[in-house]
Amino acid sequence: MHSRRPDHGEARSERGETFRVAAACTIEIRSQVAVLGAVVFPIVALILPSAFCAFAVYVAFVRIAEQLPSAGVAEALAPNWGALWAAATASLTAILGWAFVRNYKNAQAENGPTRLPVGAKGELLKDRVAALWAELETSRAAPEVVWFANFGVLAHARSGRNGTAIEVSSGLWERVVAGDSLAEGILAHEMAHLVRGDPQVFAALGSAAGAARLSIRIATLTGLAAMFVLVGDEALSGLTAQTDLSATLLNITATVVLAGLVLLALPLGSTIVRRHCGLISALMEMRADVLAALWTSGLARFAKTFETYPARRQSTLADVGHSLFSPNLTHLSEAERINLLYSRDRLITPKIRYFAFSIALPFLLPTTAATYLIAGGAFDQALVTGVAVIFQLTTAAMLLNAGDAGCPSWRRVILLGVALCFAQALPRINLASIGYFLTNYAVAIAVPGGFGSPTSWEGVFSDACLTGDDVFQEFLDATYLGWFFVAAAISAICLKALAMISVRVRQHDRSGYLCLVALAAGGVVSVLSSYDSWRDEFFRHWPLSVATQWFALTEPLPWLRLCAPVLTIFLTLAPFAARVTPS
Amino acid sequence: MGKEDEFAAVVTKAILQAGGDEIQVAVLDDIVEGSKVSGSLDASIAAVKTAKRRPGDFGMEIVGALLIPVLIEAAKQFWAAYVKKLAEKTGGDLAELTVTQAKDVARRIWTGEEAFVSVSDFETLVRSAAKREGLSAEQTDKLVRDLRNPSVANAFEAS
Repeated sequence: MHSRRPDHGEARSERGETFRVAAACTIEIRSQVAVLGAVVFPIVALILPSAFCAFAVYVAFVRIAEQLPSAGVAEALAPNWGALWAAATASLTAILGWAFVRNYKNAQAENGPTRLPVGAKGELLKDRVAALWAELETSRAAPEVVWFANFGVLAHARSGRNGTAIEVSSGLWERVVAGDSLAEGILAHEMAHLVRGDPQVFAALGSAAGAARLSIRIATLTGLAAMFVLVGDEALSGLTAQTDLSATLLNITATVVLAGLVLLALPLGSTIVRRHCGLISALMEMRADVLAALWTSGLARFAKTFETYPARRQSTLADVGHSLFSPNLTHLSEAERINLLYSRDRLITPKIRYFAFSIALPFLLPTTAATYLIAGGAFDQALVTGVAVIFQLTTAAMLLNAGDAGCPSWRRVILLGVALCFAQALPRINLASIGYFLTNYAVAIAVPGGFGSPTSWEGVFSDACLTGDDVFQEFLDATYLGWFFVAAAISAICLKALAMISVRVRQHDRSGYLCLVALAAGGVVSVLSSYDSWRDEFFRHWPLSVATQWFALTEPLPWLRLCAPVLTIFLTLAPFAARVTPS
Repeated sequence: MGKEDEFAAVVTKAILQAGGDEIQVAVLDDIVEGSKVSGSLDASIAAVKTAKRRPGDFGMEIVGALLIPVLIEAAKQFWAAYVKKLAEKTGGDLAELTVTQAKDVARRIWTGEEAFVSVSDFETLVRSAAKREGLSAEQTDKLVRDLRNPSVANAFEAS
């Protein structure tokens, strides 16, 4: 951990705490990057788009083949679904790789117009940056300082083939020259980015999001092309068979609506990837704030400097909404960043409110009309499971790191306990009935009563109520009614206990190995507890097939599955922590 | 860039140099360069007022002192007032006024040789623009001190 020479008078314990807080931020960032790379991106940017492409080509081929006069030609053209999907997956993999590399190279090359600072004030700026960098006890070369014209107080850290640089706006330059403490904090924030290698990660995140967007766009265009083939075929059939024009139009409308519902999954997928990348960016900005506070005036004073600065823009409700929901998130709002800096509890634990949308979006994927049909909805379930599991592990890991930073409050662990149990329940709640309901009524446009759908408004309302009831029942089954709160209480107690034993755990001779084993065990239990018998394609195969045995084992106390991951981690570590005499 | 913009840029630069605001002078030079591409000083200033948030930025919106927009706005109004009064009194047409002649006009105003407008008129416009842009009393007073600095007139002669 890069430190600063301790000559600014703050207590050693405060600096130790802030180190732990920065380490907690790093754990959260790495966890989210891991789930993005291992689960979210492969499913949303590759598997689902390739399935859509294969399906679109398959449907178009089948429809074309049906129109051909010769059965032999039709048979020869009949596509093999498995081969189609494999070909689509291979093609999109190559495209994703190419797009990522291209985007990354372009990101490295992209720089706005900047100039070297000149004159006496230019020298002052360079000296201040060099002096602050020298205090960081880092072996890295000091960054170049360049400036750009802007009245705002802005800064940007960049890294590329020509080395690292801090870009300062003319507005910030004046603040630095004036010896403004705010300016020092801003420069420290940018230095934190450079010390942690953040510019490369930002470039990679942006490249990944761009590559995902391209893959999804290709799948969408392929889907639209297939839709046009189907619509054209409907129109041609209507003309040649001389059927009633209104019937043909209804068929075409139903085709278009159904295609729209199916393809809706793709922009939702793009939003999932972009939001996840945005969340990681915002977490990295928070870590830079924490490190800057460590290197300058401490968390509370750093926050106070920005809170009380008169020229700072006040955050609005729209800014808060942006932090909570925007797929274009880069930074949390000013007010939220300051509030976080004041709250050690929130800094050393996962940022639930910003993470919530990142788990809600995958959860909503089955409401579109097609993803629940791909491997029986197993990929949908895997996506939510992956995000939920990483939430469990991140929380435990951050609390094990807590140590010197102190235990989180009971209020915080209770909130986390509830959130973790709810996240654990989500993979077992299947919203496919909503997707089916929408598909049903799309088909009913052309074929009233098709799929058995009612033809009266009372019938539609009744169907909607049944669907809602279905989903509600799934929710009750997955959360185990009132026992949910018992599970949440046990989770909260385990989380508190984990934080309390964290110092002893870290003092154990084999602490790294122990934590790894405990987290792995907790992760396995979390995956097994996510088992959904309706979407069990992956759970039919070993080792996930033990999930049915796990469910049989926990049948007397099924609600225990909600808190089992955190309980497992605690029970794995507690015996070892008990043997350590704290120093 | 029109004559009004050129006059405003010349006057603003002279005042900033008199105040020792090297950084602001560098920004103004950047803005003037930008206006050659955008075709308008206002467009160039607008570009320098906004910024898109990117990962790696500090990301908090903190407003800096808007000295240049205040001076530019005041100078353009000052020029318009001068041209109007000149036209009323003498029927003169400044459409073909060159940059050099514009600097000469500025020098005459600042040395008190010009009868139609004075530095006090410009000060009034600066105070009014400063109030609109939200400058603090200290910042406004410094601007006024700088525009009354005798070296401003010298800057017009030297350039």
